[in-house]
Amino acid sequence: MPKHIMRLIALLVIVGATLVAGRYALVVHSYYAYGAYRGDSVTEIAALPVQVAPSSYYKSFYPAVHEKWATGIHNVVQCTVCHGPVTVGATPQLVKLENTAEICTNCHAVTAGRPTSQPQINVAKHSGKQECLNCHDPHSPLLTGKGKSIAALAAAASEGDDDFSGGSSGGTTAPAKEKLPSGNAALGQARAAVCTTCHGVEKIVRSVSAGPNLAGQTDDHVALELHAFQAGTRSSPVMEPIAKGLSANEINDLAAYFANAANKK
Amino acid sequence: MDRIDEDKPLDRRAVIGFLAKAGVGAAAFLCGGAGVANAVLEPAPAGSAAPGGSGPVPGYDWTKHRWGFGVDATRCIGCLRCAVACKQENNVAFDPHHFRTWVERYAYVDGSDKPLIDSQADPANIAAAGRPDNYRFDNRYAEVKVDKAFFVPKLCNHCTRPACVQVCPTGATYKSVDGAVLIDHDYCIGCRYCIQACPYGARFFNEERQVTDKCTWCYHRITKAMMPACVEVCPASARIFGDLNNPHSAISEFIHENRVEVLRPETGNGPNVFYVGIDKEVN
Repeated sequence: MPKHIMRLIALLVIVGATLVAGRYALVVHSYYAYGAYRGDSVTEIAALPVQVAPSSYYKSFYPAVHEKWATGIHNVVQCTVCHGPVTVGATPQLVKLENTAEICTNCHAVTAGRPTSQPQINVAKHSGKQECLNCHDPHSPLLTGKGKSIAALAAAASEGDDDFSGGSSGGTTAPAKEKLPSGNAALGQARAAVCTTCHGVEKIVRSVSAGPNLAGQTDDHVALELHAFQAGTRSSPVMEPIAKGLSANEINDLAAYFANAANKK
Repeated sequence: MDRIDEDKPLDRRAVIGFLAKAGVGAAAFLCGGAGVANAVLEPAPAGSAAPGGSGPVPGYDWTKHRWGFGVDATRCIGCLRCAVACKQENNVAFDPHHFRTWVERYAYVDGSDKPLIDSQADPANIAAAGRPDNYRFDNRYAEVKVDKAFFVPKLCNHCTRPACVQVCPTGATYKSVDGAVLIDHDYCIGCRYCIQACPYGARFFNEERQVTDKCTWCYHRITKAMMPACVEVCPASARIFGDLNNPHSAISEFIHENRVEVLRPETGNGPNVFYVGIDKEVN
């Protein structure tokens, strides 16, 4: 074979070997394992840490709270929505929420575009910007009187049974409203002097630590909640003894007074 | 050929074989890699032979899934918990301008047939949120009569024929076998062609890392049999996710039971996010 052919072959071999070695060294090995991309990147993306833990993850850490949440109307709101993310594997630090007026209104402020099925609150009217925690338990926010009939509450009070676990009505709409016997607002006013110490007379109560705004509440609401305190289905160290000292007529009078108070919405 | 044997005692087959390999190798190198050459040169990577799965993710068979996403706009309450959870899950910057998933509001004020559109990035909505790590819609239409208004959650459509993948010059974004369009942040050079190519505005630029970013359907969760973070936290069940290969999955039933539509079907990308309850102006 002529010498120049041998040199050409040798040159081609060297160039070819350099290209093969160069490609082997420069191109990531998983490239084109599945397509025109680095196969290992899929593995890397799939291995990223899970940070928003499912609510079932919290169960072993906070069984009692989890149970209350799981049986309440808010069981569609996952723990992380209010309490922040938790990396799976880490112990969740349950943060006691302070700014509930802000957190709750993320979903419940009156906002154009929200479906009418979503409960929407005008906070200024509803509670004078108090913390929602003052009345509602965020884990099961339905007030215990809501959706119950007074007869049922009275029966619960007499039997002392605890069938009524707070807010367990599971999001169903309230049954047909019972027509309450209308009370005497004037009699109610005389009795309400005690209430206003904490609940205020004006539209906005005097301090956040005080009780919720009562003036302008519907009579159904005031009456039902007082009956719920009587029956013990809504617990409060302050309100339970007060409510237990009231007769049904007195409750109706109070409800009538607050419903017709000056700041009727 | 006889003279080769005389001058140099080389094995003819070895020479031919080597030349063939070298030629293919050179072609592969010049072309930036071709499947055939790769198959000759190197076996599949070790990760692909993981137990319990076929594909690059250990314990997960990506040939058995075809993921799909549903949005029921009639249920969305615009609380934006999805956007917050997404940022927490995927380490997206907490500012009102970078989102893997977001929500838009379409409002038709009385007498107008053109919707007013705002999102959490609207200045008034930023002011309503008050904090950079929270997002909310204000009640801007309180004083006007609104004919209809609704929220539309948006995210990457994980298209069947994604334009973003087509334009990527480095193979940094790609369509995985199970349907997710993913981004290899190590290979992304930050040229942003994909951001321009996407008809849905689903991609954004991560200034911190100088790469493009977008929704992955929480690929690290769905490969562990978990729901994407936004689906997990949605209190209104407006987001539905599941396996289109399974006729009883949530997404299959959602598509079966509803009249669904996709955004901008005319672009030919073949989106895989299916909407219910949106209007003609939504795109």
